[in-house]
Order: sequence, then C-alpha cells, then structure tokens
Amino acid sequence: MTVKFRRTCSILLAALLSVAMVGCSKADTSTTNTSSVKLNDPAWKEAMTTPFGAYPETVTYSVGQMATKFTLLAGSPYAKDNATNNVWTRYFKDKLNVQNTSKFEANDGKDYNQKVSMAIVSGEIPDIMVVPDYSTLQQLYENDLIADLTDAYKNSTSDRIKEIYDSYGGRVLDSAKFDGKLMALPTTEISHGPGILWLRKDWMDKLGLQEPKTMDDIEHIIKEFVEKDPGGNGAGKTVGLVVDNENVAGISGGQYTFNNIFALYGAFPKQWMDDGKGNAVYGSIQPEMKPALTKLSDMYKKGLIDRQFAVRTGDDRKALLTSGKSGSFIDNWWGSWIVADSLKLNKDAKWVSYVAPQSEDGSVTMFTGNPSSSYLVVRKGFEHPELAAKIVSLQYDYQRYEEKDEATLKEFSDYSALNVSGSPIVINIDYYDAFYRNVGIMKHALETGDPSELKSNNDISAYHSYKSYLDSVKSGKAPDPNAWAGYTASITTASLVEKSNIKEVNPVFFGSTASMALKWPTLSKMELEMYLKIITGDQTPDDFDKFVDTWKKTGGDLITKEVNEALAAK
Amino acid sequence: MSPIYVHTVKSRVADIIIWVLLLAFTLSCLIPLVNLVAISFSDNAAASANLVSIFPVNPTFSSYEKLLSDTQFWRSFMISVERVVLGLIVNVGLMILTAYPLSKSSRQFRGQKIYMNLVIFAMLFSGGLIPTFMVVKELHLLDSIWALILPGAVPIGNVILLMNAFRAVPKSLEEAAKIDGASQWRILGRIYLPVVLPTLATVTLFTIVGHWNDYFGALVYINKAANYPLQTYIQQLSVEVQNITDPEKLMELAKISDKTLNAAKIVVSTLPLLLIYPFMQKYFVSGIVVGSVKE
Amino acid sequence: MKNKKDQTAFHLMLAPGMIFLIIFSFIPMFGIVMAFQNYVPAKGISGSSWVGLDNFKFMLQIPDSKQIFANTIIIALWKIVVGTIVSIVFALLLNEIRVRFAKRFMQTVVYLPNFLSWAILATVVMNIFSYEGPVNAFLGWFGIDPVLFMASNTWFRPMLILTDVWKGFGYGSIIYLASLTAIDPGLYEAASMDGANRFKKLWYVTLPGLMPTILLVTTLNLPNVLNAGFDQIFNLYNPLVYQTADIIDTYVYRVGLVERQYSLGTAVGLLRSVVGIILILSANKLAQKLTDYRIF
Repeated sequence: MTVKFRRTCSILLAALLSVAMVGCSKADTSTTNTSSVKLNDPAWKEAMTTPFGAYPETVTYSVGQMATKFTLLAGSPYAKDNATNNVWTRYFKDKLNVQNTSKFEANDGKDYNQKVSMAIVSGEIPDIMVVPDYSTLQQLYENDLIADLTDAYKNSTSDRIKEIYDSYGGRVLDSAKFDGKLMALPTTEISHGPGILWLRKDWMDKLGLQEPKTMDDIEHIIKEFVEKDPGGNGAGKTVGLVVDNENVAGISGGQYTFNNIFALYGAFPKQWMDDGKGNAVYGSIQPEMKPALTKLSDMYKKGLIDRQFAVRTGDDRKALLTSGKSGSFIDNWWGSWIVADSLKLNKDAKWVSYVAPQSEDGSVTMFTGNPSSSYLVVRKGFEHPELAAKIVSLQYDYQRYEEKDEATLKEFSDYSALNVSGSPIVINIDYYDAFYRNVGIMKHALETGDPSELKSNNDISAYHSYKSYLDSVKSGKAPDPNAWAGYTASITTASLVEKSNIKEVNPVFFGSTASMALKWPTLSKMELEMYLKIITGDQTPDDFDKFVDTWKKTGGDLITKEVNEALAAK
Repeated sequence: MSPIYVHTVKSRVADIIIWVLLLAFTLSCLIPLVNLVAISFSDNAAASANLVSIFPVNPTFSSYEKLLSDTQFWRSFMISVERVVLGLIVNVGLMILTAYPLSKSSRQFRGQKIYMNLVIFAMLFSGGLIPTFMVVKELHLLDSIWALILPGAVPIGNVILLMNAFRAVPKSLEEAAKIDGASQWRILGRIYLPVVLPTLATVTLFTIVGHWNDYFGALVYINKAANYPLQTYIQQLSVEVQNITDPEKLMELAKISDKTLNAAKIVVSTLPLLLIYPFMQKYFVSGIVVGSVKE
Repeated sequence: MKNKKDQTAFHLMLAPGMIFLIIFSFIPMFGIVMAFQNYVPAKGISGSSWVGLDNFKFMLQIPDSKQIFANTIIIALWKIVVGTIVSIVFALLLNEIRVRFAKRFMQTVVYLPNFLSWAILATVVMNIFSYEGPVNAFLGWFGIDPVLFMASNTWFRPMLILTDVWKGFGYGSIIYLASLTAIDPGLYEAASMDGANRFKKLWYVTLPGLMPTILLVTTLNLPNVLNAGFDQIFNLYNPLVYQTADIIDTYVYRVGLVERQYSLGTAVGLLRSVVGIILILSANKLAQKLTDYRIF
C-alpha cells in the first residue's frame, strides 16, 4: 500500500512539474531571419513596405476573432460564409494575398477578454489580435510578447489613416507608445457628440408645445406629457424621463443619461477633470454636482423622472419608450434606433431629437470619451508585423474611399444591410468628427439627387438608403422604421449637432491606479448609491456633502493623488 | 405503493388543501413559461415593448421560420446531443464504478477511507480556471467535444448520492450472492444496480440536464464558435448589454436585437428537457421494493 | 482469498475515476498558489511575484467587507434553508396525489423554471414586483400602499430568496421524489393497522424515510454558504439595494472590471473551499452523532 501510495505521489508530482513548466514557457520570441532574406526580393520588399502591395505568396495569419453573427446571413447568397471565408477575408486575400485563421472566437466583451487572457496564459497568442484594455497592452509589452510597430506604421499605413490619427492630435497614438516605440495600432473612439433629448413630437403637437431649449422648457414639456396623458395611457400612467439606473451619468455617448443636465451646471460626474490649475480632480465630488442633484431630485418628486427607474432593466427602458408609456429620454445621436419599434406599434408615433437643455448662451457642453480603449497588437516573432498596418489601411481607408469595383461594393453593402461585419479585425479607425463630418455634403447630395460629391463608399451606399427613405416619405407611404431610424440618426440629428453650439471639455485621465483595485469598487458603489438615493428622495441633496467627505476618507484622496502622480509621470 | 387511506371528512379537506397548494405551485411556474412561448409567437416590436403577457400579440410563425433556416442553431443542437450522449456514458459509467467501492465499509474495503477523502477533497478544492485550462490544452483537447466531458468526468456530488443509495441496499442480498460465489462485478451489476434504479435515474437525469444546460465550459475550451453546443450558442445571443458602454457596439446591438427569435431559440432548446423528464419519472414510480432504508 | 479478490475488484473499479480526478482535479490544484501571488497571465505562475497573504488581507481591507460577507452568508443560508423545505414540502404534497397524469404534469412543469436564465427572468420578476405588478395590485385590495420591492432594502432579500426558491424547488424536489419511492410500503400498511391517520403516517413513516436524503442533500449544499447566487443578484440588483444585496461574487466581479484579478478570484475560491470543507466535515460528524447516519 505505502509503496503504491509513494509511487502515485511521485507520478503526481512529475505531472505537476511538467504542467508548471509549461506554465512558464514563453512564446517563441526569436526574431525570424527569413524576413531579412525576403527583403532582398523586390516583390516581397514592395509588399512589406507599402500599404497596399500584395504579397508574392499567400501569407497566413491567425487572429483572435470577435464573433460575428453569420447566422444573420441565412437565406442570402452568403449563407455559407464564415469567419475565414467572408466578404472581408476574400477582399484581403484578393488585395493583399493574405488568409486568416482563427485562433479563437468569442463575443466581444467579457468572453473575448477571457479568451485573450487564456491565450496569454498559454503563451500562444494569435499573430494579430485586439486587446481590450491598456493594462493588457502594458502587460504584453513588459513581457516582450508583442512586436514593435513603429516601422510598420511608418511604411505600411496609408496617408489617410495617418491623417485620421492626426485628427485626434496625438492623443490616440501616444497611448500606444512605450519608450518611444509604437507597440499597437490603437482603436479610435470617435466623438459621440453631446447628449440628445428625444421627445414624442406627436404628443407635443397634440398639446401645442414648443421646441425646448432651456431646462424649464424641458420640465414643462415632460410635465404636460405626464399630466395630460397625450398617449392615452390612462391617468397617471404616463412615465417621465427614462433613465439608466447604474449609469445615471458619466458615460461618454451614454444611453438614457442625465449627462446634459449635469453639464448644464458645470458638473462632469465620473470624469477626471482638470481643475484649471493643472491638477486632476474627480468630477463627481465637485460642488457643481449639488445644484444638479437638487434639480434632479426636484424633478423626480414632481414625477418628471420615471418613478421606478432605479429598478428597470435595459429591456424595460426600451419597452417604456416603444410602447408609448414614456415620451422622453436623453440619449445620444442614434437614439432613434432604440425607439424605431414604436413606429411599428403606433403609426402616429413621431420622435424628434433636440440638443437641449442649453445654457444661457445657447450652448451645450459635452465631455469627450477615452480616445482609445482597445489596441491592435502583433505577436512578437510574427514574420509580417506590417500586415496589421496593411489590413487597417485596406479596411479603413482603401475599401471605404478608393474601391470602385461595383460587384465588390455590392457584396459589402449586402453585408451591412444585414448588419454583419465579418472582418477578422474589429476595431474602428475613423475621424474624430466622423458622425457629422460629411453630413453637409450628404444633405446637399440628397437635395440635388447627385451623389458624385460623396467621398466614401459608406456614404454612397447610405445615400441610396436615405434617398429611398425620403422618396417613401414624399409619396406619403409609411416609412420603414429602420430606414427612418438611420436617416433620423445620421442626417437629421447629425446636422442638428453640426449646427449647434457645442462646447467640449476633455477629461484628463482614463486609466487605473494601484489603489483603485482595492478601493474603487467601494467608492463607485457609494457613488451610485448616492445618485439614486438623492434623486429618489431617500436622502436630501445636503447628504451630498457627507458623500464627498466619506469618499475622500475611504480612499478617494489617495486615488486622486495617484492619478496626479500618474499624469505627472507621463 | 400508495398508502391506503381511510376516507374521512378530514382527509377530504386535506385533499382539497393539497390540490390547491400544488396547483398554486404549478401555476406560478407555468406562467413565465407560457409568457416565453407567447413571446416567441409574437411580433418582435410588440415583444420588445413588453406588451406580450400570456397570449401572443400579432401572432406570427416568423421566429420559427427564421429558426429553421438558422444552420448554426441546428449544428449546435446536434453538438449538444452528441455531448449529452457521450457525457452520459462517461459520467454514469464512472459514477457507478466510483460510487460502488466507496459505499463499502472500511472493514470490507480497506482503502475506502483514503479514496473517500481524496474524492471529498477534489469536490471542494479547485485550482481554478487557468490551471484546468492549461491541462486541457496540454492534452490537446481544446476545441474537441471531449474538453466538455472529460474535465468533469467524475461528478462527485452525484457519486455521493449514488454511494448513499448503494449503502441503503440490505447487506443480506450481497451476502447471499457471495455464497453463490459471485464476484463484486457481478454483485454490482446483478443486485445493486437494479435496486438503486430510482437513484440511478435521478443522477442520470442530473447528468443529462447538466450537459445539456452547461454553457460555460464551451466558452473556455472551445475556440471556434461553429463548435459551440446549443446553450453556449444561445448564451452568446443575449450579450450582457450591461457591460457594454461603447456606443457604437450598443448601436449594433440595438439594430439586431430580436427578442422573439431569442425566445423561440430558448423554447426549442428547452423542449428536450421537457420531454426527457416524464420519461425518467417512470423509474421513480416503479421503484423497486427494497425494505427499509436503514438496516 | 476471496476477500483479496474483492479488494482488487474495488481498486480496479476506482482506478478510472481516480485517474480522471488526478488529471483534471489534483494536477490543476497547483494553481491554488495563485492565491498567494500577484498573478499576471503573461508571466505565468512561475514568473508572477509572491505576495504572501496579501490577497486575503485585501479581502478584509475592502472598506465594506463585513457587509459583503454578511450579505453573502445571510442570503445563501436562507436560500438553502427555505429551498430545502419547499422542495421537501412539494415532494410530500405530490406524494399524496394519486392522479398519475396530474402528478407527472405538475412535476414536469415545476422543474422547468430551473432552466431559464436569470437574464430572462429578470424582466419577469421586475414586472411582478413593480408598482403596476400583481403583487402590489394584491396588496392594494387590502388598502396597502404600493411598495417598490426591488428598491427596498427591507424587501429585496426576501424577494431574492423567494424567487430563487421558486426557480429551483421543482428541480430540487426530484431527489426527494426518488427517495420516496424507496420507502417500504409495508411500513405504511403496518402504520394503518395501528390506526395511524394520514398525518401520523407522514410524521412517523415518510419523514424518517426521507431523513437520510435530507441530511445528505443539506450537507452537500452546505459549502454553498459563501455562494449566494451571482447570476440572480447581478441581474436583479441596483445601487439602491447594494447595502443588503452586494455579495462576494458581485464585488469580485466589479473589482475585475477595474483590473482583471485572477489572484483575488483564486483567493476567494480557496477561502470558500476551506469554509466548505470545515462545514461539510462537521456536518458529517454531527449527522453521525445525532442520527447514527454517516454520509461519507
């Protein structure tokens, strides 16, 4: 027995050790010599040092794939397409002579992030992948797992991509630089514009209400909605402003938020702001918060905010709006997509967007978001680090602006009509002001019926769908809700934003610090409780001072110090 | 089997109370299910506006039509079936083989204590996701259906249930067989297994349901979405919107949200569970007479 | 001689299971050391730095760790206790019914909610407990003012327990229904002869017959006292009820949003295991002492 036991033990130990060894073995990081050989060959050299040159032989690369719902293609000619054979991969093959394989696939978000961690743990990261946050990027750099893309960026990104990055004034590219080396191609987060107030225009018309500008206007309109019940919900059954319970404010481009109302009072909750003296301060504890909270709690008391907003789920919020129980919410420019269904349920429903509430000078202030939240990296040792730059150039420049082949473009537009992406690399690189950048040209084209001025292929295909929407409106037909949503978001609201007086403030810090891991969940919990308790009247606005006090003592001051140190070290 | 009652008035009142309670229990569970079915037959706009209660609104079969043409759904369905079958064989086999010796007293089986302690230790302690993942990877099981079966090959909770059922079998049966010269294998197969049939049916049901319903294993061990079993596929449909704050991604989700189709997928994926249970119940009712539980 | 043959048979039977346990349970257990490290995936276990008990200290240093631990244990215990009782009661009630079709139908229906995810049920629960929902309508008949249950620190926990028990009791009752069939009908006959009524038979025959199963299932559930049901709470809670509903898992989840924390997760898991093994072994001892019934 004991002999047996001992033997078992030693087998176990051996197995244990072998696994532990594997655990510490690293990915092959030896630089390949073949690449320098290939550089002597002009055809290879051309491919490896230009944005759009094709490789003489097919180059295979593995990626971490964000899952695409190819099932949406069912019934189309592309029904058999998959992650390695779809409109994008065929395009890449055709133009660059490259073929992807997927190392792993997962839904964007938590699942994808987990796969990335698993790939890092097992020492086998894909040749090219998107990492979801800065700390993972940092980890990969510190452990020498990713390639330096400085040269690849210089040689193999197109001029337009460089111009796009420049539209962020260095904020984006710098975030991926370590010791002067560019270690990733960062995603760009385009401006989401200010918060947009969406109201039921048919209700306003019924009640003879004017377009809102100030906070008072808004309160008046919602009060009329709630009291006079223009939607016929029954007395007392119409719900006020629909708002998120966990993100009452503080998400750039957030849904169902109070961002605009806070901004009206100069408050920028959840943002690290410059206090004007060069120090970073946390927006949620600034004195400007108090009057904003006072206002909101007053609105809640009057029934102008959904009485049950604290417990609603995302589905519930959408349902309140599409079912006609509520006729108001503050969202972003594409809020029309949220309420598109209400047109199906009620022919008379009409939603209109406003940039409101405006301050006395007619302006609306917005805070900008984290300019880059995810990063495209290349595995160290991959023979063609420039491929990442080439794919990005092809995907976000050439295909959008230069491609003229009708058949190819039709495939792409079929895909987007079905809301399928398919690209092995899902990031976005676009101009900072992308959503309203070309709206003037687009409107002009729609008026004249001549799309020749339009710059990008996306715009051209959008032009046709807007055109058919406008035609259907003209002929008095009920518009397709999706066509309506697209037009209302990208044309009506975008041009509204373009015309409006928008002021931007830039938060100064988006990362995390050492103490945050320990204290931040508690602090943000306190903060969320504070919003809800004060707004719903559980606490008075005066309790805000107590919150600030506790926040500082519970680690807020320490974290503020760390944030300032981190900024100073940059 | 069923107890014999004297039908007094008191007993009648008790009967009524019992029926009322049972119906209340049943109804409370039935309503959300009916609601789900109603949603799957409704118009998507109405469903996402929360207008559907227990009857479909603007009834339509469109969700089910879409479902029929969803090749991945059926592919995943078949993967799940395969997983259940393979998992059932492995799990139930190992469960019986592990539980039987453990059910013996340490007098009868000298290693019993050590094995039992190992099993309990394995039940409660776990190295966590990453080390298990490493082992699965080193065995080259990633992306294979075995990665969903082998790491949980010995379901310890079920082993303990079964072990206790074995223990409740009267010793006299075994002793009689031994006199006839039967081996332990024979005793297990011919005497113990038939006697513990109700418990065996229970743990079999648990195993089937466990394999059918697990979505997490595939998220970790399967790298190609085409190889996902059904529940993982369905779980991936309802992404937790709570975690996504990037407006562009939210817009994509808003565009493709299809509440009724998702409901239909859940309904169809739950059907097998609905069918398997009554089938298993047969074994509970025809429980074999074994005498008292305690010896 | 014969006994030796038996011994070999027993070892052989256990061999395959043990091999699987060694490969997939014992070998990965070396990962528990992550609990004493600041684990960084890119560095692996051998490359990550050792931090001693820091991860455990961290748990205690969390500004509201007391509240979180208390919430977890209270919610989990209630769920175990109420869940077990309701499952047993349901099984006993069903056992009294002799209409076979009805019996099977009800049994099948109540087992189904277990398979619906909380993400789906959240909307249903929200509607039931909203101002306009049936619960408030019911209270309205008695002139009680509507309550927003999901936003109330008084009501949120009972609501969690109630809905969790509702979801799981049907599935939980399966095992009791199976054990009911194993009770010797002779005992009922004997009790009838002694003139026992229905209730007495339940008390003196059925319940004692179920006792081993009850003890067994409860013991197996005990390690769950530090596991209050992440999915449910995550889908139902809101900041107003953090005070009574924030549990270890929801907290760790939110920590993970700040920084992915494998080490903390492992430390929490280890703590759970240690508590679990203490509880399960004591329960075993206790059961043996009180009822002479050994579970392991």
